[in-house]
Amino acid sequence: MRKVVIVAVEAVTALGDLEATWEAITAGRTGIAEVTRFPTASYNSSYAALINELECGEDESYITPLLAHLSASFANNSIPEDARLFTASTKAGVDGLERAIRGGTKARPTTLFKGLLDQVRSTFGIKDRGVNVSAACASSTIAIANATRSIGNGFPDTALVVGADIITEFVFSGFSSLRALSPLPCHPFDTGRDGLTLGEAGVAILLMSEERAAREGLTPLATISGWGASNDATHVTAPARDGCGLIEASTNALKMAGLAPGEIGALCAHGTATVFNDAMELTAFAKIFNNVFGPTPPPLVGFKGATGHTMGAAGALEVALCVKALATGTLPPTVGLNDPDERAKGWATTASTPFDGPILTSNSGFGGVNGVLILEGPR
Amino acid sequence: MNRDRMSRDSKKWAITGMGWVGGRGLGRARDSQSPGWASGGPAPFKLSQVISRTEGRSGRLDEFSKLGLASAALALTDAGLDRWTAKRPIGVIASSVYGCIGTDDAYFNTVLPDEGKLSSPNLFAYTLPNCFVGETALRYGLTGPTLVINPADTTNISPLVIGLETLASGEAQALLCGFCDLEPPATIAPLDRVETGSVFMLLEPPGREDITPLATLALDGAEVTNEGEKIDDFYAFIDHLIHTLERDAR
Repeated sequence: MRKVVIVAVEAVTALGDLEATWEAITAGRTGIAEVTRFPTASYNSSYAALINELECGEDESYITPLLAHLSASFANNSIPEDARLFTASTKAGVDGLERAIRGGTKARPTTLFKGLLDQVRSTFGIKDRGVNVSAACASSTIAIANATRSIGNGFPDTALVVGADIITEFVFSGFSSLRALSPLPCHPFDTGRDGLTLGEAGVAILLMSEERAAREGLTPLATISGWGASNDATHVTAPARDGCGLIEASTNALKMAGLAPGEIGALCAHGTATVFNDAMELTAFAKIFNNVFGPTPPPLVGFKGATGHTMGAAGALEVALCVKALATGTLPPTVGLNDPDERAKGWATTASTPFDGPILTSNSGFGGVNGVLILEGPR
Repeated sequence: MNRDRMSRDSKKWAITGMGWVGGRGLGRARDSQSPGWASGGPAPFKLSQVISRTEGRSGRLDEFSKLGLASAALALTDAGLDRWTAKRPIGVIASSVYGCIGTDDAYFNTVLPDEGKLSSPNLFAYTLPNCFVGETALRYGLTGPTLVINPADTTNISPLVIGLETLASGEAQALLCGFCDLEPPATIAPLDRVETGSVFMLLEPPGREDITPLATLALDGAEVTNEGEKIDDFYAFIDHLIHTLERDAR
């Protein structure tokens, strides 16, 4: 299988573009603030990481300005005509459905995934009709894995992955009804963690075979050296307490990358800040890495205290931030982590932390899904 | 199923079971009494007609999940893989054009009254297209990759290509591959050429001694072939395969 590299990456989040987001996280700042887009009085939180610059007309979905912002940020990169398109979104432009139900009309095309794909194609100028990957909060992780596999096999040798999800009353009310939202900005891996905070983001990642990147004169930013996907086969909405699915996905990714656990330099966790997700991840990673590293496995970071949980875009956003971490050799602090869980003490980052080696990044979600990617720096 | 058999013929896979829920009802390939496959919204059915273990959250399942779970269960039964004691690295890749948009519509109608105070957590839990795949995985102990693909083209060939690529790279020992769609609610304008109902097939390496394959598929680059013929359209291939099996049975 051919080596697959990331040659371009961009993101828009509540903290700005990728560079601004990275700088803010490094400084310990969060993009989480009080929601003004819709009333939240009935819900058990009023906080989210919204992109305030998004403005849309009465008959438009917020997904449209999100993609426009992302496309503008990505404009310096040339997307090859033969690029295959993968999008990753959990709810596309679901605010179109909200408006249709409220108004008794038909929903806009972007309400469906096909409409999202069509809009990404026209916004980014891509020929391939593309597919959207629906794998809950691991959607973009698994989309990147599928794109990497296709390129690795040579069919084709480049692909664009776009992860995008917006915050609407639909998703906000739903997570509130499940009692999954933290009343205040979330605290990943903290003793006081009490739920997640939602966020929205758009992320674009251009992948190529190493040979194609060389032909195009593009400098690789990172190599995707392994991936793994699994299902807990335990529960539809709750993670497996023993971390069995995450262990399986991580083990498969390490095997594919030809790496031993001891060669991993850092971990980028899903870190939703729910009691059970974070406990599951600490259990799984401790089982994989503790035998190798002793009591303290490679440093672990969670980004959702800064960006919010960006749902289907989360995996791609965390890959984008891992690319920055690989470039600087530094993991930023886990924003929102004030009083680490007993098992996270000295493990989850509370300040900028140097590391050396590949990053293993993971996401898990509803439906029992787990997705893991291993990223290596260009050096 | 073992890794020797996987590596022996790594570019070919056998279809060892098929199940469907469509306009004529519930069926599977090896049951000669089954109604044939036809696209269309299924008549009301109970999951207990299909799966024995209906305890737990069955009563909460939305119609989309019930449809996909039933046809995936029928495919596993047809392949003789419905009974299990230990979890298995079998994956599930399904396509769906509309996804769970009907459940989305029903959920948001619980948000509107009383300014969201009555939002239904039971419905929200099924507002992701991959939830029925998770239901299938947990009920049958399937730990391989599980995802739903929402295609933009009308051939719906993507799940088959991605499914065989997944098998070829050794990420699963076997794979349920199919599609699941219901008619959209009144708020959604229907799209052209979307087949409703659900069909799943079980793909695994050839060579099982206890079962005769229904057909064999090969992956050549990014093309899928059956008996040397390129498959351009997943819907058409399913129609062709089921009608061929029906003809041969007569």
